[in-house]
Amino acid sequence: MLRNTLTAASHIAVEGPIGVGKTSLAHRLASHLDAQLLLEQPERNPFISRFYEDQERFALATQLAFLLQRIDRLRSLPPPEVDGRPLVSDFLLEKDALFALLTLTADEHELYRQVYENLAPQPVRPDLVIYLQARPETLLARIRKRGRDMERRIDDAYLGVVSDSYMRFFHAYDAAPVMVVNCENIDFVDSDDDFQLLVRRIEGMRGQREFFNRGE
Amino acid sequence: MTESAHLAFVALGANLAEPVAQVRAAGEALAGLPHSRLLQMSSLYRTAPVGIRGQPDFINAVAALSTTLAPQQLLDALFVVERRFGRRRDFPQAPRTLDLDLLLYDQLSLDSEQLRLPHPRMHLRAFVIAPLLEIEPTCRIPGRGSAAAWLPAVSQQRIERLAPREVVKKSSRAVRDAGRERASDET
Repeated sequence: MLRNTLTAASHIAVEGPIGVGKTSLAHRLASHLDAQLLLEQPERNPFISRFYEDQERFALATQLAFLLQRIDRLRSLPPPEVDGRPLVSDFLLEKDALFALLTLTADEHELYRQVYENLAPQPVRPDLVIYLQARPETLLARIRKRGRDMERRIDDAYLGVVSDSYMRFFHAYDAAPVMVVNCENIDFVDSDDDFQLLVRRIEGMRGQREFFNRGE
Repeated sequence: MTESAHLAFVALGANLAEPVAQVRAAGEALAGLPHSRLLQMSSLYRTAPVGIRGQPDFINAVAALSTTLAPQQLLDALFVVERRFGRRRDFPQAPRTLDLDLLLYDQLSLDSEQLRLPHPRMHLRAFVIAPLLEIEPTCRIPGRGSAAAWLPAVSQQRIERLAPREVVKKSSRAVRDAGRERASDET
């Protein structure tokens, strides 16, 4: 029997750099699939605004706060056999280590690694990952447009580094099938046609990795 | 009768004990619902079951009803039919003698503990969308647009249409007209 990737999945994770549209797509997918929604709450990280103002000083606190929050979010989930509905999340736990590597100095990272190992979180393994990509300029434009105060200081150099890290991370990622979506010419939030196209492409996935790239 | 008639769509499914016969019999049971008329039954569709391996295929169909029952009353009436067919609710996705789902009730959107309309997952299932479009090609799902737009998205799900549909009492025109009956009422 063919597995239908989207409708048969019990956990779908949407990932990608800041501003690419993870949360919006997660909302739309959850509504489409009648799924539970598990969202990050970056605004509840008490260090995040200060991190963007002074990365070096606040990186470790920001990282540790995110790590605890992400573990807590994942623990809060009712087991799938209780809820019965699938789950859509706008993050993978693995992103935590990805950002730690970017933002921490070597000795801070060693400390972070020890904390991580002591907490020993179980990364949830989704059945499907949707990895969203966009150029740093596009990300920056979207971040400016949504105008969150805490993100005001993000610059395109930082976004470029984050995007590169995501690319490297997903290059090696093999825990779940990945649909890589180039978000430059697709608007699945405001366009029903684009969203349906994305759904069709995901349903048609047969390999461990596919690319959805719509030219202009 | 002074109540106006509503157009409702019901999904039928079975995968135990001669499911083809079960779904056909369920169609007859729907025709006998109080304050309702069966306008049309789709063909039967065969699907491999989702979630659990080693179970027999599912047989599905969609029925169009004209009813003066309120949504909750209609749902209760469907439960009565399900129970008569001996549906087992042992565990989620357990094999079932008969499964009846209320898909649409006019263009009503409803979210209560007992009943959600339109059925929140109907657009994800080829075995619902295909038979629904067969009897109502222009069907719209409130909040999700035209049902036909979702057909390509479920086209990877392999379903097989079994027999040509049995036209019950009225032609497909009756389905389209049922919505208008609300204004003119039943005699």
